Amino acid sequence: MKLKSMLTAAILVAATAPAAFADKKSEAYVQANANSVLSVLNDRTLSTDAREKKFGEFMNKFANMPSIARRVIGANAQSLSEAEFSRYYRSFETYALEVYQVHFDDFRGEKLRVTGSTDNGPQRSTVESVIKSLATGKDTKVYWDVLLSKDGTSYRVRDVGIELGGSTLWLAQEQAAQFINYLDRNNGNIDKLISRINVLLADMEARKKDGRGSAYKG
Amino acid sequence: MSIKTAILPAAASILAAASLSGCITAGPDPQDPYADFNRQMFAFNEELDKAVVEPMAYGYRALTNEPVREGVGNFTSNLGEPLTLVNHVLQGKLPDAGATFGRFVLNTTIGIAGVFDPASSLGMARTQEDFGQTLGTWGVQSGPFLVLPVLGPTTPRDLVGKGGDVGLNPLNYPQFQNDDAIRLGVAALGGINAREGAIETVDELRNQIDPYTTVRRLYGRTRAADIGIPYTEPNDAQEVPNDELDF
Repeated sequence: MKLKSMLTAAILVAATAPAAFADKKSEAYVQANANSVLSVLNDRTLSTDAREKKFGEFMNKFANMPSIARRVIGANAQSLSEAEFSRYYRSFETYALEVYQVHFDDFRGEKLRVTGSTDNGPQRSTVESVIKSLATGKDTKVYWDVLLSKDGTSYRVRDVGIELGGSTLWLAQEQAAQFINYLDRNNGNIDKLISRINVLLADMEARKKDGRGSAYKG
Repeated sequence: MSIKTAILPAAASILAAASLSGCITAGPDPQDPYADFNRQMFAFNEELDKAVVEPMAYGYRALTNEPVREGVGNFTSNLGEPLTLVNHVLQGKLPDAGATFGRFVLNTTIGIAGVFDPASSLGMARTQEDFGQTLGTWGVQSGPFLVLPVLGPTTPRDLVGKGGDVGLNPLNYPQFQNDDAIRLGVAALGGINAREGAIETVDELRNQIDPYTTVRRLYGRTRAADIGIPYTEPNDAQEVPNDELDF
């Protein structure tokens, strides 16, 4: 009986060990990279343009932006030509980086602390972290949907969830809901979506210039 | 306000919620079956807000300063405490009911009719409960998302809840000279004060790719958080497609 229990325990440990290892590595990945991204936003030695450029470079390493761009338009992505996707992606990337920057700016100068993770399969985990929000002065939970590459050597962030008012706002999911609804109401016309994104980008630029701040906060 | 007139809005909202599904045609989207109707009402409310309410909110901001607006907000919130207390009791949250009672007594007396909020300074944080939340706590499903003219975003459960709030609020029952006019005036002042506080937020909402979708999801998420239940739309829980894992 004792031997049977020990064997069962050994099998359980063997079965769960790789997943737990993957989670710890995902946690370390988020801890290191999220703080790098946040430190860019806090780097006052950089001009605004240089800071935005560096932030974009970090985000492109941290997340797979073309993949996110496809995901947020759902099934519409399948019907786009390469040229159409390329046009859409140019606007999307600028817009998404602007939106992420606004959300992350709430945590400017603060250090993110990873508090744990949940394994969601062999290649996916959700990393939990906390960081103090400048807006509320309180610790805010931030979740990271992290994918592990097939060979187990690299990571990508798929989505970021920020706890707001007792619920979690997943940024890419929120964008997907809006983009897909917008396309559905415009017969899947990608040019109309691009125009809409560009109108909002122009508004964001105008707000920066006249000091009104960003308009985008989900 | 007599008991009869207090109960009337409650009954009307129950009737309205019950008959709405017969008036508007459901569409194909199971997450938002009344999207077409809702979007029309959303657009109507937007125009009404831009033409009437928003200019009043800006005017109010120009005429008042921050301490005055905070005092008005405290005063109107304090008048909502008895309703919160009743809903705490209905939800079986008796310690919260006790804390709300303490807040109301303290702020109404030392806080000069609720204009100041000494209770918060003493660590007694304000909570807000309504009958829609109580129904949710009892397990009543929200039903489909709705946008109604003037009233704005709601659900059949919350619409019934709004009527219930009028009937359940103990402050709606005392009768005095011009009581209805005074209650209406206080409600209007509270409304304008709240709209002033939301000027930036509304501005942000208008600058979304699809403001209606943002409001619908925000409403669902906020109400679920208020009640303490998870909010997940079916498309939020989708599996990761293989091509995203292939790197």
